[in-house]
Amino acid sequence: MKSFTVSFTLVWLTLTAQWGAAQEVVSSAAVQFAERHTDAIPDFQKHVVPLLGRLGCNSAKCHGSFQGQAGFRLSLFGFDFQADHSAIRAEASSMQENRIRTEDPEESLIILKPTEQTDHAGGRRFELNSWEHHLLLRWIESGAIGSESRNTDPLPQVNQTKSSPEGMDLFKKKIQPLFENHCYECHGFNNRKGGLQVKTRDMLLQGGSSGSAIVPGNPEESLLIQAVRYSSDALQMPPSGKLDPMQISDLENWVRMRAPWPADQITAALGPPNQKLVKLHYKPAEILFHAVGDTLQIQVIAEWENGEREDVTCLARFQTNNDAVVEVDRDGLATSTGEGDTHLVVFYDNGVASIPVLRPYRSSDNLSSVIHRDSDEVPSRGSVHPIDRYVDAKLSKLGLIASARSSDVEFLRRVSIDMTGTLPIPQEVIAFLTDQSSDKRIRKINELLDRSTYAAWWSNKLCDFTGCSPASIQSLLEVASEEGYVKASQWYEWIYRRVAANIPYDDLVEGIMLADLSSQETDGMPYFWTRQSLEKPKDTAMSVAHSFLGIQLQCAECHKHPFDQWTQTDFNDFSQFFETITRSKRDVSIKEEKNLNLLRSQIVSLGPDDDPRRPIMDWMRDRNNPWFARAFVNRVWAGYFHVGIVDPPDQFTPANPPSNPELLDWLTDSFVENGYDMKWLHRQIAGSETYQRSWKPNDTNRNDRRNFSRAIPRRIPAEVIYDAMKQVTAAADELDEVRTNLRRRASGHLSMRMAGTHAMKVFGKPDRAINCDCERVNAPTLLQAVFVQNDPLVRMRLAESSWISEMEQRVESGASFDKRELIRQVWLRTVNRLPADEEVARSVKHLNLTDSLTEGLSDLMWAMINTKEFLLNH
Amino acid sequence: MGNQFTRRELLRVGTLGGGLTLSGYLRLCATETQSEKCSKRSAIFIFLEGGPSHQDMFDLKPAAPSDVRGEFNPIATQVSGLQICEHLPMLAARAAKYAIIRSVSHNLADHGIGKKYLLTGNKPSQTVSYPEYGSVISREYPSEADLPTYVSMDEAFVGPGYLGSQHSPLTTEKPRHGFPYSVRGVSLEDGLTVAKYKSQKSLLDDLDTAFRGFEELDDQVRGLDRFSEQAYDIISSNRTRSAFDLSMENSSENERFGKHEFGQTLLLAARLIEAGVHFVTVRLRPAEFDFDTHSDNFSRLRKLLPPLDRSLSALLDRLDERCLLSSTAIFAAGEFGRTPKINSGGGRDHWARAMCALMAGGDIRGGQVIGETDATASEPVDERFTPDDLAASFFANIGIRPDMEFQTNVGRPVTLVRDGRPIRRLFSDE
Repeated sequence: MKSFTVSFTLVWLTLTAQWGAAQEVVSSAAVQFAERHTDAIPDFQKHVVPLLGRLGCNSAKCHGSFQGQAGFRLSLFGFDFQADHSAIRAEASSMQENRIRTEDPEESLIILKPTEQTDHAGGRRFELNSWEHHLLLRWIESGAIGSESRNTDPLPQVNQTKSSPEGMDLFKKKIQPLFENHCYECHGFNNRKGGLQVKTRDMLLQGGSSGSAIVPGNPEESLLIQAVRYSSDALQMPPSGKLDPMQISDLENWVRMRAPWPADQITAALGPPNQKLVKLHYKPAEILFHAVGDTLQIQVIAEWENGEREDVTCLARFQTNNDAVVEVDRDGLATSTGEGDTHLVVFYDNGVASIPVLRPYRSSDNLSSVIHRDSDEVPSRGSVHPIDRYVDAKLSKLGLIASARSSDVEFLRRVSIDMTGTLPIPQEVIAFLTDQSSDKRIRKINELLDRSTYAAWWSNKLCDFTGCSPASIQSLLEVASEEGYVKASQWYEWIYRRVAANIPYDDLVEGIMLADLSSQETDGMPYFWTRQSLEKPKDTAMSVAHSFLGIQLQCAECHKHPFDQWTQTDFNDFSQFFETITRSKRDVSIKEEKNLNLLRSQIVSLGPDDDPRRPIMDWMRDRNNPWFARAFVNRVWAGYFHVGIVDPPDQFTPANPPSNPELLDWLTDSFVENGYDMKWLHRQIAGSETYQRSWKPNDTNRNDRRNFSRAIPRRIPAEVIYDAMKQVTAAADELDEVRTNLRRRASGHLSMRMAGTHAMKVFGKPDRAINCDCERVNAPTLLQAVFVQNDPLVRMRLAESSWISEMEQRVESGASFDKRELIRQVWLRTVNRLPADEEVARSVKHLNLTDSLTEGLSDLMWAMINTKEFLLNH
Repeated sequence: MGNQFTRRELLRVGTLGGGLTLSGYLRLCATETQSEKCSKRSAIFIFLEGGPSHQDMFDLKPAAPSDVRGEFNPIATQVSGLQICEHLPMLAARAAKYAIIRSVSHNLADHGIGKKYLLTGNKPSQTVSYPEYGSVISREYPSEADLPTYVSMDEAFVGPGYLGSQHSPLTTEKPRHGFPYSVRGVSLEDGLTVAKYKSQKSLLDDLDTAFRGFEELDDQVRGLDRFSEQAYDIISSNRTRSAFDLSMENSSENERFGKHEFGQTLLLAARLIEAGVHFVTVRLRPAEFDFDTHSDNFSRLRKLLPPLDRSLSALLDRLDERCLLSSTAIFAAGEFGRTPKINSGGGRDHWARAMCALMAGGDIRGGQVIGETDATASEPVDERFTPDDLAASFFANIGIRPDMEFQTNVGRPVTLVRDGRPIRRLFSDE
């Protein structure tokens, strides 16, 4: 691999609460345009587009809709300044009026409509003589100038083709329907037979494996025309039958007219905006409320690349992340609505900033007694673990008191499920209870980390994150082929070997990222790249971002990301890295030199023969990478707490900040310092007091679900339930086999085979078909309850329980047995604790009522697996 | 997080009282989105999997060349001027009860993506998994607590998509005539009696104590309790079990629907709707009821059409007799049509540019044909509709706005049927 040059030319957009050196700040637009007459001239990017955004004009429900609204379309959430400007400047189709009349601004539609001086389906957006009104008037009378692009030739070549109205008409009435009806089946949507797609003019020009499909102006030279004429035996399209002569001549005419294609259907490379926002400053840095109804005004200042600063409070958009804690109005006035903590999010241009909002829990004022009681229960453990230090700092800020330490049995069950996807067995519970040593929990953690079930469960998770799906590997059809299963299993095993050997996480990812696609003899894992769902470079880009960076780029495929800084340009650039890596290609090296913006971190220069994935891998493992290690650390955390520090864990956006940034920073930095040692990470998290807290709330933390002041009960995952049902009903001498034979476990090799089966669907095992951690669903449902209560599979497990029949045989053989001991076993097997006296009594009562011991035990087992205590990890 | 969800739950959609017409409904709902007083209605979706041959069933072309026309002749129906296939005589006699849409056209002539398209009304996407119709009804129009809202026979193909697994259907095996019918998870098998089940449940109630006093603590705890009770109600209730119990039908009714799988499935669908289940998907797997007639199209249709004819007719009659047709929206279609030209194996291949759909019940004005295809049934002439439009019409007929908006888990707003508009002529007032 040749070297490539990396230059850090792009400034990372920073969002900061610090006001910089005392610089002159341009006053807000509301002040500048308070009067009708002013010398100030509004700027399209800085004022007009943000104003349209704030007024809701470019939202999906209004003119931001892809169909536009009443013939007027703006780019969704703004940021396509050229398109927006030309849309505003274009003549309104339905009327004899212009949207803009520079000679008579008051008569411009963009004034008349939103002030409701003429009918406007969107109603009144601002008042006459308001600053908004003045701003728009002033912009119009000053010439309604748009954003000048730095790009000297911003528009793609196609636009230079003069398209006559006749050409457009021909395209819309004849050519487009013809393409849709006769070509799309094989060359449209997600299909590209022969490498050809006919969705855009560029795609036709680019052509497929036989070369360019059209030569504009020259039908005779155009492959498309030759094909539809059926003139050669080699290429006859469409294959289902020759087109009508009229249709063929339409196509010939269209090519002769240089193949006109409407501009709005061109997927143009967007020119960069003309000015760059460097920082979005905000005040205050943090909001601390004390009572309902407390209010506070937020101020927002934009800093541009040329050093200019402007108060943009009146042009920004505001959003609350939890309206039960704080509400915010459109002018940035925050009002406290409840206890807890969340963020207010500010949007302006492509800047997004989040302001922490806290209101301490009131009930904490008079809880000294609780503090006392709790602190008694926590054994002194010498130095405080950093995790606990960061978590406790946040708790004390919020007036939250952490729940008491979990009991030994609670801890054992919880950590066994979270770390190994497996319930403990009776003798393990007893041994742990009788162990009197003070370090028994950390020794248990280390023991679990050495089990094959740890590697299996976390390989299964890594397969979730990376999209290892038998269906998607082999075909687009819904049914996985045998080859799909085989490959998915290889993928799983490849990860399993590395997790078991505790290979550093970055090396594991490198094995996937840089997998050699040209040969089968490789150490890497190539199937990540060859999935059928990665049809286009864009799909690959989204998949890489989701799997390894925990970020969702898909919004930016079609419009500016509404909650993130990503624009279509960023997304298009990132996609270009993967142009040579579509699933069918084997040679990934690029053919010509190009400079690409890598998610605004740097410009990467790629030369011929470079593997474009390598600079991405190098960047990911750079210790300053903002997402790579962080995303993984956070996902592992979420695996133990049911909620991420950033949650959802695959939504790292400035609008979704971590609930405890210091904690996430510490975990990330230490994980990297420790050489991406995954077991180290698990050990830290599970070894913390924070993880070992009881789910039982105290008076302060009932409603806390994001600061880890207690454990959150969560339904055990699909695979774990399936395996657990087997385990709790197995005879004592089969327990080891049931627990360790990964080939027969849903959380092991069976994971791939079982995806899509009834039980797995009911309990929300992900199909790994889309890029979203939300695919795994842990919420309880009606069908799950129906399943656990009465599904044939559950009834069968009970009816065929080798443990119950073992007990039955013992009784039949005349051996003495103690009902209480059997009851104890049921408890140890299912809820992994000893039963209380009243539970034993109730059970004895039931056993005495049933006709046979088998029936009684089966009832008891049925009842226990239907308890919340069994179904939840707590 | 609970209130965050409410915040994101953008939409509360209104529907209307019986007398209101569709256009009235659309007008009203455009202005009054909060109206709760109006009613939604139940629905049955019948999926004819494999891609039924439109020009051999509901869009015959007797004047076409013989390699297109095929072997079947059209017959007159109850409605003057409307003709359908000679192998659908019973449906012909009831043509006033349903509308045929002949100008449906799309471009996904592949089973996998075509099915997803027709089962959701949205083109399949890499980033959003769309829900099937019944899952939307499960969310928007739940049945009473001791009944499932949405039953799918058999396995659902698409599932609840972005609506989440709580809106999955209760799936069942297809009923087979002469065999005892069992519903997975609902039927009490192997001699399990309701009394026994009740004693198990009472044991469970006494032992499920770990979270006593904390029932309202977390969503998951609350959810487990709620669904456990509902599951118990469904499993132990007479209402659900008798709804699924086909043995309660007399033999003449069995006869009327046909003693084959399709007939028994539609009979069960009718029973479920009568009992108060709000949505039923009937989807027979191709192994049993396969419209994918790549070869021997005509001999296979001679076997497929009579059961379809009989059962669908019986369904329409039965719902009508019980005054339920006006309160039940019915939609039948496959994933695409079939090629105009008959291939060398006497079959027809995949063809998405033209296909038919059938709608009945609710506000559908029966006895009409919407749209027209060209001389060889290859393309619609003039107006054409997409599966999106069919879905929008179906939802509108159910009383759910097709343009209502949901939020995916990643917070992205998604329109229920993004690209479809209700076909206005389908509805009674136009």
